[in-house]
Amino acid sequence: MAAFSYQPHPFLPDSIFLPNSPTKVSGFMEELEGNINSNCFSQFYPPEPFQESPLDPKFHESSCLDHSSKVAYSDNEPSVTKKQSTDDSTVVDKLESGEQVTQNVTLTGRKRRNRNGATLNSAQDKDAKEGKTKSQKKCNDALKNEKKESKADKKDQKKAPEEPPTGYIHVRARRGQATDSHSLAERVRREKISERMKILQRLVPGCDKVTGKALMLDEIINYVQSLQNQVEFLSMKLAYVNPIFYDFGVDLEASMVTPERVTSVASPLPSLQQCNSTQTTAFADTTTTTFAPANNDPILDTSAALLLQQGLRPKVFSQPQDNASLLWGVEDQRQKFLNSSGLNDNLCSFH
Amino acid sequence: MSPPSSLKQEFLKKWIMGLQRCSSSKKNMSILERKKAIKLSADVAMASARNGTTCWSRALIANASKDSSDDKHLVEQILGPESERLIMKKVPRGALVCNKRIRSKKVLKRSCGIRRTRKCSPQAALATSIAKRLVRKRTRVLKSLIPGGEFMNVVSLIEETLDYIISLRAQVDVMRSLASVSELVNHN
Repeated sequence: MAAFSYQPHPFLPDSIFLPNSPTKVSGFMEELEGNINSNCFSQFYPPEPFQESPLDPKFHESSCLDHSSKVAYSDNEPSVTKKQSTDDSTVVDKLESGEQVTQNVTLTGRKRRNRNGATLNSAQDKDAKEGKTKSQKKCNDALKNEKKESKADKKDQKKAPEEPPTGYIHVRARRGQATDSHSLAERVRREKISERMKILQRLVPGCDKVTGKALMLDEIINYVQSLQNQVEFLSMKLAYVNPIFYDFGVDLEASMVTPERVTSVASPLPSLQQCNSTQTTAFADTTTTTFAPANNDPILDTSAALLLQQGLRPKVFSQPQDNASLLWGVEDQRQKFLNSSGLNDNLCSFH
Repeated sequence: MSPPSSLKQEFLKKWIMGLQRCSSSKKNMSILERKKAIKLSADVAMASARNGTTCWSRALIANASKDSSDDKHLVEQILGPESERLIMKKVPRGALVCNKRIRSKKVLKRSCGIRRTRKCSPQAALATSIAKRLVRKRTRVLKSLIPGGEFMNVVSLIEETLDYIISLRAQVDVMRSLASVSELVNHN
C-alpha cells in the first residue's frame, strides 16, 4: 500500500489553527522560547495524554519567567534527580504543584535512561526511550535546544514535530525496523491512516475488492460525489413534486409519523372527517413531538403517504397553523384506535 | 453500515422545522428557489444534528451563514436559538494563514521532490512516486469535497469523511422516502 508522503510541517500549523484543537497546543506553540518546562516534557514516559492539562495554565505563567530562572531550573535538575523532590527555586513556585507530577515522571524516565538496565529490564528501557521519543513535544524547538544542553547522552532527542497533538503514543520499534523518531512517528501515522481507511472500506460499497490507497481514495471520492449529487437531485425532485403546496413545510411535516401510530392507521379516515368539519384549533406544538425509533422505512413510507394525502386536504383552511394542529389532533385520536388492518386497504379506502 | 434511525429522525425533525421557517418567511417561491431552500435546510439540519462535534458540520454551517451570502438569514432562522452557538462569528484567519502556509510548503516540496526523484530512477522508486502523486492528488480532491476539508490533516480528514458519508446517507434515505411518498400521493 503506497504511503502518504511524509509531510512533517503541515500538521503543526493545523494543530495550532484548527478551531477545535485544544487550546493548550496553541498556548504551547506561542511560548516556545520561554518555556522552561521543555526539559521535563521531553521525558514523559507513561502515555498519559491528559497529564498535561493541569499544567497548561502553568505554562502560560512560566513563559513570563526569564532566562535566569530557566538556567537555575536546569541547574537544579541534576540535584532533583538525586533528591526526587520538587524544585525549590522561587522562580518555579507557581509550577511546583504541577511540576511535581512531571518531576516524578521525569525522574523515573531519567533514571531508566541513566542507569541502563540497572534496576529495570531491557524491554522497559527500550520502551522508555521510544516512549520518550514519541512523547508530545509541543514546544519542539525550545526542547531541542534545552536537550542539547542538559542531556547530551540521550540518543533519541530528535524532535517529532510531525506528530499529531492527540496525546502520548507509546511505540515499540519492531525487529529489523528503524528506530529513529522520524520513522517511528511516520509509522504511527501510517498505521492510523490505514486503520481508518479500513473502516472506510467497510462503509463504502465496492471498496472491499480494492487494495491500495489510491484506488480506495478514488472509490471514496466517487461515492461522496454520488451522494452529494443524489441530495441535489432529490431536493430538486421534492421542489418539483410539491408545487401546489402553499406551505410545503406543513405538508412535509405531515409525513412525520411514529411507527407506533402506524398500526392504527385505519382510524385516520373517520377521525379526519370529523376534524374537517370541526376546524380544530391548535393542539400541540410541533416541536414537542417525540419520535420512536423508526426501524422500518416501508412503514414510514406508507404512513407518510396517508398523512400527506390528509395534508393535501386542508386547502380549505386558511391558516397553516391549523393544519399542523389538525394533523397532530388526528394523530392523538388515532392513538386510541389500535387497528392492525393492512395499509393497502387504507390506501384504497381513500378513493 | 446503515445510518442509525435516531440520526434520521433527528434530521427529519430539524429539516421540517427549517422548511417551515423558510416557507413562512417567503411565499410563492419559484421552483429553483424552493429547491435551494430545501437543500439548504436539509444540509443545515444534518449539520446541526451533529451538534458541533465534527469539523465538517461546523464548516458547513459557517459557509452557509457567511456574511456575503443571502442565505444567512435563512440559516439563522432554521437554526433558531442555537444559531449563536453554532455559527462561528470570528473569521478563521488562522485557518487561512495555515492554508497558505501549507500550500507554499507543498510547492516547495514538490519542486525539491522532482529533483530528488530524477536522481534515483529505478523502476520501483518511479512506481512509488507515481503512486504517491496519485494519492496526493486524490486527497486534494477529497479535501475539496468535504466541507472544511482544506484545513485538516490526512488523519482527521479520513475521520471527517467517515462521519460525512454516514450523514449524507441518512440524508439521502430520508429525502428519498419523502420524495417517493410525495410521488405516491400525487399520483393518487
